Amino acid sequence: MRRANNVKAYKALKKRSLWQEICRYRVLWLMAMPAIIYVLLFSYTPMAGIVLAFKKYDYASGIFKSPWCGLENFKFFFKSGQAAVVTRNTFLYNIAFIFLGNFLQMITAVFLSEMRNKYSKKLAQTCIFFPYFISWVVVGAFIYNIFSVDYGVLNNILKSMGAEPVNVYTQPRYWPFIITVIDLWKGVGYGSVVYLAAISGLDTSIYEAAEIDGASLVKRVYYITMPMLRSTMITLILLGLGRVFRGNFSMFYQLVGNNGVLYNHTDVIDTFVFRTLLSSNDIGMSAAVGLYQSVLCFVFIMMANGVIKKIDDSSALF
Amino acid sequence: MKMLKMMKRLCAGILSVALASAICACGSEKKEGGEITRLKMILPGDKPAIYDEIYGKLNEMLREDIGAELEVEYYNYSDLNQKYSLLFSSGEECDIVFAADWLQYNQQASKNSFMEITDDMLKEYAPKTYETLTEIIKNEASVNGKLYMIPNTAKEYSENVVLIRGDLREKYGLGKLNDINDFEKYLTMIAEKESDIIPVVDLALSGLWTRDAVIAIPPSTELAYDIEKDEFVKKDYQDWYINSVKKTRELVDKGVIPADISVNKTTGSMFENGKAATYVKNLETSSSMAKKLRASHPEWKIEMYSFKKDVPKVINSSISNGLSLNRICKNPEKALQTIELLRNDKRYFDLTWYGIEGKHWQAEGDRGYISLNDSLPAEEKYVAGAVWGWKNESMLRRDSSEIPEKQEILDAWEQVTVDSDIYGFTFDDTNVKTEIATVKSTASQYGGPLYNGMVAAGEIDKAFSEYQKKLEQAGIDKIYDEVTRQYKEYREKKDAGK
Repeated sequence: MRRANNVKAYKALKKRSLWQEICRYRVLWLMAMPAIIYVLLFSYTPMAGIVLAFKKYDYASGIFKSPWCGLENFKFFFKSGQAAVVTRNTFLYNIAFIFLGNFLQMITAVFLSEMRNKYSKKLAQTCIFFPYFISWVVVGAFIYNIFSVDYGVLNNILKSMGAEPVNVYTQPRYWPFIITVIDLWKGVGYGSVVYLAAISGLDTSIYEAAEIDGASLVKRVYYITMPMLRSTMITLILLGLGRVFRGNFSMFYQLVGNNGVLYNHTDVIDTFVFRTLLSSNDIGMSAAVGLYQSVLCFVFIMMANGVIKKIDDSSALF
Repeated sequence: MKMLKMMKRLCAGILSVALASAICACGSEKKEGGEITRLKMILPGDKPAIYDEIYGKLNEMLREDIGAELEVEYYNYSDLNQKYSLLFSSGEECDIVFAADWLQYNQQASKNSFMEITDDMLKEYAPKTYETLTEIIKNEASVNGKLYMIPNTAKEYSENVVLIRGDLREKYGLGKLNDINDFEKYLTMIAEKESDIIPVVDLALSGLWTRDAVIAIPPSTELAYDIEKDEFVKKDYQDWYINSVKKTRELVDKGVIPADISVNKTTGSMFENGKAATYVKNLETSSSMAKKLRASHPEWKIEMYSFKKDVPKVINSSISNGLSLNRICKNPEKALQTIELLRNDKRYFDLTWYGIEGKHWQAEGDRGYISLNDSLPAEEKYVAGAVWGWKNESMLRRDSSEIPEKQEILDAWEQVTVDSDIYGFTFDDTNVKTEIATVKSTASQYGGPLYNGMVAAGEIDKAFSEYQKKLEQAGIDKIYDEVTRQYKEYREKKDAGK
């Protein structure tokens, strides 16, 4: 009976035109409208600008009338010898941010949700959330005041203990660690909000049943909360992977600045392009690298989604 | 049915809004096209505190003289480069734009950012300006044979001078600084004895130890023009440059230059606040800083020195400051008339350069003035900003309260100034764009740490040979050949012209 109904509904659906579809679900369409307009306006419309990557841009002729120049704009990036290094850095940093970040965000959300005292919960949440609002410029100043050779907190402590001061700004190996920690510190509070929302949506009767059956807090978290957050986590990770070849420019730029010694370990595609093209201001070349990033991201998200689909169809994005 | 009604209403609503805005747009346009032409100008720097007073007065005169009004928008130095390039790519509406070689005038011009200024336009709308533009100046400001800028006409040097604290010098029993070695003694003394004062916060100083008579052109190529040899050289292969890097590192090891100087972003005002012992900037900036500090901190006994008085110099290119017309300038006639007035009419020039007579300055004859700014409260002071765009030697007044060393240094420099038309040579980078971008990123990765004194003394030679290898991979030789070839052509053309 149910199946018959389904078939009927399907046939009806097929018969209806798009317009009828829109009329029928107009409220839903209306609700989705802002998002649709946003995507059309800011994601689809600018796509035409991709042609810039293959053009010798000239202000007078504009985007579409400028002369073509083939792959000329891509040359500088690959000829620099840094393309592989910065692509690797961008990818690895983002992977670390996404996986460690999501893991910590989930843990934080679980802890916060299990806190009983309302005031200490709010206090903890505010403290964890707060770094999100600090600008990277300010964070950059913090870092300098911690690690500066002559005036930094770290070296003053080291000196007072009789140890040799360290010039962190000439030692690339510390930086992957510093940058990852700083990014997590800044992003965990904000990211945990999504997980908190997901947790508050969980069915409390399951917890009550588990509690009656004698499950301890740790067991309840491990066997109920975490598995139920899985699909949220996968969605967030997939969304993150969609931007895995785009570096967080303001972070890397503010923390590292123009310090060439560290570039091999800290330079991401975005900072490299900024530095190289800032004064020549060649839109074609920047567009070329932007396209390179987009293509890589696209390929990567398709692959990641495909893998997830194979393992667990319902968690995949599309 | 209900839906249809709703749609109808919605459409009607949207249409009426669109119509209304269209009508509004027409209305405002009509107003603009009427009696008064509104012009917009872009200048770098900060908006003067008393902008309304000065430019209000200016607009009164402009309305009367040519029926125009000028509005200035200021682009702060901190994000000038980004905003300036966006100005042209976003097609923002403005008429007059500040232009300069340090804002990539040549590249911008070859990308068609500016409107060509023809001789006929100049003759008709800016005749006095036209007369001041000599062939040499026009040649310097032309890109591919077309003029896109009205350059300033004034003698300027980009050479740095040094300010020091006389009280600290005396405290450690040093005499007046006669040469660079005395200066080094001063710096070392501060590094050893003064725990709260950093000897040096500006790396521009590292160039003082070498006798390098060069100009760093074309920009971003790691090449330089050698004034004495009249040829281009690859900077990072020259002994004088390698030695200056070694000197920088030596000073880092001595504690004179902080080890992480390149990372510190708060160095700008340290000298002013008594936290640094030297100030290294060009003559104009340094002497106004010296004047300011002699008034506010007489106990510091500020002294000014030039340690390279005997090194040959070339006067700055006239395109080091100037005004251009935006490509989409709607009213080139009025814009040129405005520039003409700013540059050549004493009322306009004095007002924009020195402020209101009697309040900010007092005339001393035709060519001099006394600044009254110091006696005014901060919110009444007039800080002119980037008015150099219409700097004109024949209009300039000399500040009689200027510190006397400035003229002494200028006189000494004039003795070693070489007549050169090097700035008439404009490099066309079309063929080596890729190489320039690559060289630039190589320079910032491998050259930056060397310049900043971050490479240990024993490793500098090794680091240089690696850096040079990377530069070769990046294609510096191709750039060098291209520049040399174009320069040779330029020379031949010049000689043939004679």
